[in-house]
This record gives sequence, C-alpha cells and structure tokens, in this order.
Amino acid sequence: MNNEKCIDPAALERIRGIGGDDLLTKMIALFIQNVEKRLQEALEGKAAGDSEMIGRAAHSIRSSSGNVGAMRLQRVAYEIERLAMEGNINRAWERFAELEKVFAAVKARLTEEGEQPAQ
Amino acid sequence: MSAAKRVLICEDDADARLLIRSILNTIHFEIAGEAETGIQALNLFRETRPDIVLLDIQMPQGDGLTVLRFLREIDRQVRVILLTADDTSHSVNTALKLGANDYVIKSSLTTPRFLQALQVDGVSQPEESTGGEKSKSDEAADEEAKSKTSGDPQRRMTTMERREEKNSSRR
Repeated sequence: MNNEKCIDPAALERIRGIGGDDLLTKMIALFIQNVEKRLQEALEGKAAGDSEMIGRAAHSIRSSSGNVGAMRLQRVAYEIERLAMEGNINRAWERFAELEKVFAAVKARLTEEGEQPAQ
Repeated sequence: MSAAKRVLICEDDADARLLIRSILNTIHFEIAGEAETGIQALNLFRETRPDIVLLDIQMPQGDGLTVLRFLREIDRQVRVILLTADDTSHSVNTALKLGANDYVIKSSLTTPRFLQALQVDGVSQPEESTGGEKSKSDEAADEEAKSKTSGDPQRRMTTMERREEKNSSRR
C-alpha cells in the first residue's frame, strides 16, 4: 500500500496548526499506542468469542483514526465494528487482516511524519 | 473581561484527550478536569461544576448516555456537548432527547465545527439542521429516553456501578 495515500495530509496540518510539531508528534505516538492496544483487545475478543469486545476495539480505532486523517483505516474499522455488533464474529474477523495491513501502512507514514519537522 | 469557561473532558482515548486539551488551551478555556470513565465523569462533575461538559458516548464504566441522564438530574443548565464517532448513531438522537445541547463528530475536533459547539466568540453557530440542536427527533429515541430516565436515580446508579464491576472483572 502506498503510505502517502493512507493519510490525509490536511488532517495533520490542522493538528500542526493547533499545537505545532510537538502536538503532532505526541498525537501520533498516542494514536499508534491506542490502536496497538485495541488490536490486542480485538485479538482477545476473538479468542474469547466475544463479538462485543471486538466491536468496542474497532469503535475506538475508528474514533481515533479521523483525527490523524487515517480515513481508510477508519472505514475498515467501521465495517468490523458494524459486523461485530451484529454478532457476525467470523465475518468481522475476515476483515481483520485488512485492518492490520492498513494500520501497518498508516503507522509507517505517521512515524515518518513524526520524525520530520514541518516543511 | 469574563472568566474563562471551564470544561470537563470525559473521554477514554488518550489521543483524543490530548487533542481536546491542546485546542482548549489555544482558545484560553480552562480545563476543569479529565475523566476516562463514566463514574469518574460524574464524580468530577460534582466536584468541579464546570460550564461545559464534553462527553464521549462510548466510555467504560458508564457510557455517555448513562452519564448524561445523571448529569441532567443534577444540573439542567450546564452545556453538554456529545463526542461521537459519527452522526448516524441512534445514540445521538437519544442523547439530544435526553438534553445534550450539541454533538461533535470526533474527526471534526480540529475543524471550526468544534469551536461552534463550544460557542467560541467570533465563530458563527451552525444551522439547526446541521448542528444537532434537537432537530433529529424520532419516536424511538423519545421512547428510549423516557424509559431510561424513569425510576429511582440512586438505584439506577448502583445498578450501573454493579454492571461496571462485572464488566471490569471480565476485562
């Protein structure tokens, strides 16, 4: 996946506009930390057969994604949340591999961004 | 010069709290407190009596709707702005029926929409149809709001705490 396209740069610029590079770097670190924690919770939900737990984890990922402009991640998380909340744990899980793949691209792009000062 | 508005942030995601805190600092609003759970939100509200409550719909240990019901029993005037992942949720309609003043989609926190909801001077208010000022009525939301606000508050609070204890033990 093209790392450049998985993030809306305007969203990052809005964060910079509020608190500069310092805020953006902290936001990125917290976002990555939060998503990794929620992915782990979703795995635990799958192991326990708890579709609500998967749904809650996907909801949190969806909520956070918009602020850093990770719109594709937000969409995939929403699909998983909806399926999980409907009790379709297997179908939700089928989409999980894509969620992880999109997050890997988002993380790579945001990590680059967090390491670079604004142009 | 009027005193800075005091805001209670009720949100379980740390990244969203950081962003909100930064925006509030920028516009010179005072942060009355930060809650990560519904029970913390109610306790902090009683302690700090803020001017504005930013309330996430989905929080552990008491979701936003439950907290909103209790808040409105304590204080009918405080401005409550709901934080939600999207505006298609049935919960948003229910919250507006229960007395939330407005709602903001979390991905819009960095846009003027958030400042409109906070009623920052110089930022015009949205039209009713787009701002969520109780325009999205539906009968189901009415019924849900009515049914969930009936009964003894103390008993419902205890039930909420029991339910959360059960959930915590599952986590």
